[in-house]
Amino acid sequence: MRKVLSVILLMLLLSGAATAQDAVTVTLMHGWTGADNTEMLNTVFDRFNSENEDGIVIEPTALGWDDLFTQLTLTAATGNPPDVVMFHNTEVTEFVRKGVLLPVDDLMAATGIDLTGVPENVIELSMIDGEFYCLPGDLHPMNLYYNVDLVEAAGLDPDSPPTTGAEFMAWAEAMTITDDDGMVTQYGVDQPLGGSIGRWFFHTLLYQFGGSWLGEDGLSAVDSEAAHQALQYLVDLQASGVSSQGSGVGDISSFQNERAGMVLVGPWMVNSYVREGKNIGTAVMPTFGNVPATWTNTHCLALTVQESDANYLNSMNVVKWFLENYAEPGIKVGIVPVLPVALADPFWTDHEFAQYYAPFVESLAISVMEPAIEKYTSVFAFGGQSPILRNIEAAQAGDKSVEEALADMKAGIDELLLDE
Amino acid sequence: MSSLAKTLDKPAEAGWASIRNDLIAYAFMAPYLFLFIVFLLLPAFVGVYASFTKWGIIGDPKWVGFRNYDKLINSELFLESLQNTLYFVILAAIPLIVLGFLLALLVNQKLRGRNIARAIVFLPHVVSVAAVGIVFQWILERSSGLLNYYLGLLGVNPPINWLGEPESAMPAIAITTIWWTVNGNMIIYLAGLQDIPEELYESARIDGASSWQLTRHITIPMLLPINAFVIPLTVIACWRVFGQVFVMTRGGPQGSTFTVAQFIYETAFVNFNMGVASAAGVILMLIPLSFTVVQLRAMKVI
Repeated sequence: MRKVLSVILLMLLLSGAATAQDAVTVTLMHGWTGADNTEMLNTVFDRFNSENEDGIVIEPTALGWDDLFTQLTLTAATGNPPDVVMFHNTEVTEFVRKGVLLPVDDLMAATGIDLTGVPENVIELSMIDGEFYCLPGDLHPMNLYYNVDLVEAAGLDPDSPPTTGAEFMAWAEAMTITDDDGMVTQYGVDQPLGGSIGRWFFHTLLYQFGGSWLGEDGLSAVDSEAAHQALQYLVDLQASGVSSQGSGVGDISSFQNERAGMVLVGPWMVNSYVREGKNIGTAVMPTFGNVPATWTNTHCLALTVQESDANYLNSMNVVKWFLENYAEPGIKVGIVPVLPVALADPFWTDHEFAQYYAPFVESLAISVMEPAIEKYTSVFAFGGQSPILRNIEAAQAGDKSVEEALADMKAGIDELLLDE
Repeated sequence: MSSLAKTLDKPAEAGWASIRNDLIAYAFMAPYLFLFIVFLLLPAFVGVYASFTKWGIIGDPKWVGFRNYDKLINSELFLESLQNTLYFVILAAIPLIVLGFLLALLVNQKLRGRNIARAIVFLPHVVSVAAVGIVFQWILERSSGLLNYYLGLLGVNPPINWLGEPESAMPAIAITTIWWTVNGNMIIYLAGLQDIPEELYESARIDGASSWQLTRHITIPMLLPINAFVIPLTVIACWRVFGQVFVMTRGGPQGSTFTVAQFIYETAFVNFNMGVASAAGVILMLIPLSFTVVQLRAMKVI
């Protein structure tokens, strides 16, 4: 009897080994962390694993963005990077220059990936020296959220959200409430001091006033009149008393706690706000400057350079499937797919949250990305070294004049750009 | 001959036994020594070497001599991070040592329920830095935080933006750190207190010594070896502050909580400038090391 059991066990082990040999693993590194995002993304990968007929199994790794950049660099240095990496288009140049990413034009042709209908600026950021390195999946532009209950309580019409800077300020003033002691108990807008949201709003204003981050010499152009107008607007907004200033850098909990009427942030907050039962509305970023524009970034999928090309086609098939099925992660993570096939997916068009995403889709046309320079992760870092964050915070807090802050910001950016 | 031979053999036997004992001791230490050498000592040597190179992780390091150190000395950002870290050390280290000692005295009293009290005081120590950081972000939240709520009841208005103002952010992080880690020192002092022979106190009491005199002339001197351990360890830990800053402020606002450890992290893993980061790491190692040597010499421990 024992012998029979041993034989059965051996056969089971062998069959297991055979199955494992048949499966092709494609490792994929992404930055969609947080329990909800990682779990949701895993269900999408599971669907691919069960649906695909080539025996491909996606093996995902979720890391925070900073950790992802570090791990990608380290694994590439040790010759064992993930097959596929999902990050932002703005980081592509940096990793192409490091020799981490693979040009994929041939593989796109082999798998039939079609980027027709994807916004031109996104296509441009996906290519370096005429070759595709990263295939765009979504955009996530910054737009306006408002609390419908607070808007109505202030006697405003939630169906006519502000479209200009003047209207935005009128809404903010109408929703700002003070108590008998003159203390503000409800803010019109939850605009924090600095942080990533401060940077993104500054970027939005910079382009709305006709400026840009870099000049023709490749160095910082934040000493321009447009940059002055952009930062001055942020300073004036804080000084006006309608803004919460946040609690800590980049904090937007006042809107979350329904103690502020509006907030400017990306589409990834839709799920959180709606699931918490907040009665919100969304609208396209108002035009504060001369031309409509808003900050955005895009997630894209890239293949890394491997010692062997044996898995490239499988990896590209994963990328193709994921791009074409982007509607589900789009809705659940809170990002707007860029491929027409994904935008036309009933999962996207018929979803109960679609109404909240509509302004985000509409704003794709005015979306502007930060420059995808070789030192993007250094210049546009979120940490304490960032000359952008430091100087926006200092100007907003009144510790530096706008001129001083911009001069220091330019000096800091240029130092990073020129550092060998 | 036989008695002489036996006499001569004795030291040989004793020597062999001693070697055997040493080998057994090394065998027990081997697992730790292996990990220490592979994951601490070797990386430290590589770090010192890397501090003299230009290295972006990908590719080979290039020898640049003292250029990285020169760069650091002239870097406003690095000097600012040093200054911020020193400020944190002053804010946190002294309370961590003094409060740790006072807490140990407190929970060493023969009171009912003292074991429960010890457990409660020690509990924060087992919480991860991420959890501590997030909880204190809530407590210190400007508009709906617990601390401002109670301060409001005491008439403190307008509410303080603890983590949003450069003046209050570092003290807020120091308070968080003290709450989180003071119990570690308490445990060490407690162990020291329990090692002091009771007879010393009894004989002093017979001579009419007061409680203060007992503490001043018996407890504090008897805890000197413990201080020689606790003080350098606390100062070193404070110089290396990183996790709570990274979770709570990321070095802001306006870089007011930007510490040397974060400088090293960002230089190494955001800017991928391993040479400069390693040089900063060497400096971060040397500063508390020199402090420790001076302090131990002052205490006549070395």
